[in-house]
Amino acid sequence: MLVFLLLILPVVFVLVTFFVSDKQAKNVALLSSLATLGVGIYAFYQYSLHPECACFIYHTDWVKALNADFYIKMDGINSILVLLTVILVPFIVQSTSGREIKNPKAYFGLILSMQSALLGVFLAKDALLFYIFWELALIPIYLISLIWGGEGRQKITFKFFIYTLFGSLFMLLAIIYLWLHNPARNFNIYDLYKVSALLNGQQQLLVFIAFYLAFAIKIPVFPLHTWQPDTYVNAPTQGTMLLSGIMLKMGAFALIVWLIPMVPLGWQIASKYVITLSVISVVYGSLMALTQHDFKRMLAYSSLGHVGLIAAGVFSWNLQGVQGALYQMLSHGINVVALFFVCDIILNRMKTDNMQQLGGIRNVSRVFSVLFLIALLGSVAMPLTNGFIGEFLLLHGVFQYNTLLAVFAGLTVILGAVYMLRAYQSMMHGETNVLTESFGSISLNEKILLGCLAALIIFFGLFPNIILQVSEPTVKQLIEHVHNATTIVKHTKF
Amino acid sequence: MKELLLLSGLGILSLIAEILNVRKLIYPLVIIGLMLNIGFCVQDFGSNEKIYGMMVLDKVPLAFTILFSFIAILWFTMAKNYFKDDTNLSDHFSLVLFSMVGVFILTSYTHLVMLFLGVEILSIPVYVLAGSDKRNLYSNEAAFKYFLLGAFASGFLLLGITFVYGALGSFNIVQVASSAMTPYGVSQQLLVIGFLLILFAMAFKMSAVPFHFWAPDVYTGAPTVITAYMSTIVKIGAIAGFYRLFSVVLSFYSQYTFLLLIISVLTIVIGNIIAASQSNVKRLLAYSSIGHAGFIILGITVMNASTPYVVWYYLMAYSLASIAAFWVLILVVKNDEEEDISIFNGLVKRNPVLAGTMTLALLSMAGIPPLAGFFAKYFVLINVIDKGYLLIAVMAILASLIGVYYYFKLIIAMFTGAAEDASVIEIPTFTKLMLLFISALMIVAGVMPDFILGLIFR
Repeated sequence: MLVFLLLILPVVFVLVTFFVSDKQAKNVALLSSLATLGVGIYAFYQYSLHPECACFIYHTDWVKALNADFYIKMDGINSILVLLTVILVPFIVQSTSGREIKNPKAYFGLILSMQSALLGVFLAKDALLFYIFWELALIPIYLISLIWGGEGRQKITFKFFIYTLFGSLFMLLAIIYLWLHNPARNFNIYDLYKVSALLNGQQQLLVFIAFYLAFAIKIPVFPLHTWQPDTYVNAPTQGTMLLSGIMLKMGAFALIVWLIPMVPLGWQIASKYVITLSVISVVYGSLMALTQHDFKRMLAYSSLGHVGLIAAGVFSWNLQGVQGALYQMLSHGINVVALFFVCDIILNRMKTDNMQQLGGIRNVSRVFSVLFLIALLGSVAMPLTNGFIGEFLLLHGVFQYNTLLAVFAGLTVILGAVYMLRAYQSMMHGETNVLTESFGSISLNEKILLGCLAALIIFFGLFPNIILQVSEPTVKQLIEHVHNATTIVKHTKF
Repeated sequence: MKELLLLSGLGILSLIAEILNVRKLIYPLVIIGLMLNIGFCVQDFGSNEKIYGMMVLDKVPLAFTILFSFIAILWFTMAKNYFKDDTNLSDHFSLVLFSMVGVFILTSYTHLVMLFLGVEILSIPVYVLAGSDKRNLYSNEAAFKYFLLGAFASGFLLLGITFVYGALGSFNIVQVASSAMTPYGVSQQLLVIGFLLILFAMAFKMSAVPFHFWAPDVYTGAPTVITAYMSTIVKIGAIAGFYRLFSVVLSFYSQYTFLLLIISVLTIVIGNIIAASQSNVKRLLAYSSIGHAGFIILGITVMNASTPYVVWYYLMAYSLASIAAFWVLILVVKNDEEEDISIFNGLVKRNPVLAGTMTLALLSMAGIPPLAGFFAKYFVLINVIDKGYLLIAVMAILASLIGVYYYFKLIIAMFTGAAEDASVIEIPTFTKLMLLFISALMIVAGVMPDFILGLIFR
């Protein structure tokens, strides 16, 4: 029941937002996100103590004609993503404070329904339910970017929508294909895992490609990333935070849970290609970030590099790689939300995020520059910050798979430091110019939000085991399943 | 039998209502009658009533009748306001009710003559209705075109039925099917020509490619309420008739399955591609309805035990979305202006309920979960892939992706366009409630398909 509460709580508050005044909408949303945060943290804590508790499963009939069930369950892997979602949404809601939002009831209603859909994606253990939530998460973010976005949003958001829908339709085909080959004729994930024993390498490769298209577009991985930078820059700040902080993780999460264990042989055949693509997107994203003048666009490309590394770690499919990916999903979510919030603060005051026009903000607001620096160090994987743990484990994982690829993937750390520090230098250091003189100090609300995010960055840098020990048993189980599935075939071949 | 008498009675009643001067009572009486009709169907479920060897009321016809009666209730509620100042209200209502008698016959016939009668009873009132905007040139053109081409199709149908009778000596579709299984002493040429002619005539009525050319002009030219009627209830009738023909007779012949696969894929692809280039909303909806017809024909072609549910569910999802879209269109378009996409610009500011309903309707037609249209397409695709037509499934999916493109043109216009006329659109509270009711139904049917199917097919 606990997991169901997690899912339904934001939906209930969406209904509440319709009946309150415009001014109260934000408070209702904040209340909802804090309540969900409370339930989420309680659930995570309970899970780390008693993972076998029945309160983490909610299972009931749904579409009998197809044998599809409403089956949600918390396990070691999705509990981390759930934690990420419930932590970030309060920040995202509160980051609107002091900003003028048109039609706030609809805005916050959409953010909350997005949260519910995202939690559904992570918790679903039924393939059809997973697909529905996956699509459901797309509609609110599309409307948020379309209605509250910047110039030229129609085309950009439309491209984003078509891209992701294109991918998901192939996922739908793959799900139907697996369902038809499933002797139990249901969508239960644990039964679908067993289907792979009945499929040969070629069939598995087909399913792999169909799933990969959907997930790679969402992550995004080179060369399917072209929707991403424009959408990030164009969406309103909260939309960008939702997209980069949580929604990107849907793709990487799905790689771990829905792709590789589903078709282990497909992974075995395709892994070297897909890892290479991931590493290309690491290098490409970092290089593109180097050449940007606008801070927000630079963050968009740097995000591409970071998630590319996560994908590479997942595809290397060893304990370090997968654990690192999970940890980095959490860290990257927190870091990127902090950085986009920094960007929003600058944009709100200066009306530009062109790094060459800014400079010397440090002289005007010291607190801001310190908090910005902490978020930045988290992003460039400085030891003692959360980014370090994740990237270290990820690179370790990729290294075990292939040394050369790990070397290229390692570029993300070096290049990341280059563009991030350069951006910091040009915006914060130097002479204060006419524009930045008017920056002023940051408000209490902004201080608290950035301060909390900075505290989280350091906290997760110091105590990674809180997270890693929870996910380890589930990750080990999945890795073993794939290992067995791929080695049995090797034996039968000879 | 009760249903047939009731529908005809309602038609006659609204015809003489003008004479009796009780015009105000027509609408409530028709609504009560249609509800009664649904009640009769529920009561008859499982009785398998045979009507003089001409019709059989088994599960499927009754389910279709419940569906079209329900849609008709929505349609009359929509049309009531539209005909407010029109003195011909009772004529219009009676024509629609008579054509619904045709729909009922098409759902339940077992005799080929009844098929022909059903098609004619359905079509002739619609020819008149398409031209009911007497002073409008396009409406006249629509009626004329529809009548000429429709008469041709009816001729084909009759010729086809005669050929089949000539080959087999029977009109009863069950006997036609069983004697076709024993090919001795049967003129195969006559039979094949007969079936093909019947098939083409039905394809015309369903507006399947390559017999679809009439549909866009007729849909655009006819008054919008009539277009809404044609794209929902008339379509249900044509498809129900085809479903019966195919499930009883044609599914035994593999060559017709192949032909129909080609027709359905062409219909899906061409309907969607042409729709993408339209700027007139009615035309766009007309082409999109061709695409949907293709999906339903595909669903019928890959026949298995679940097909009745699949077809019924698709028609339900499509009709609900369609009636909602046309209703919004009627409320938005004022004073005979062109139904260009730009009239939807900034609708969300002019009336959020209209914009919300339209968005849900379009999302449902595009097949985005959790709306009813998603499961409709999904059920069809599952059966298609189950038969092994993976390539066809991919083509259908790509075509529906094109569908997303043009449906979203409208959605984008509603949410971001700058309205020329920014005045708020006032709608009566009752209409608002009805629109919200349809929206809620689309979501409920999408989230709990079992619940809806369980209500009908117990």
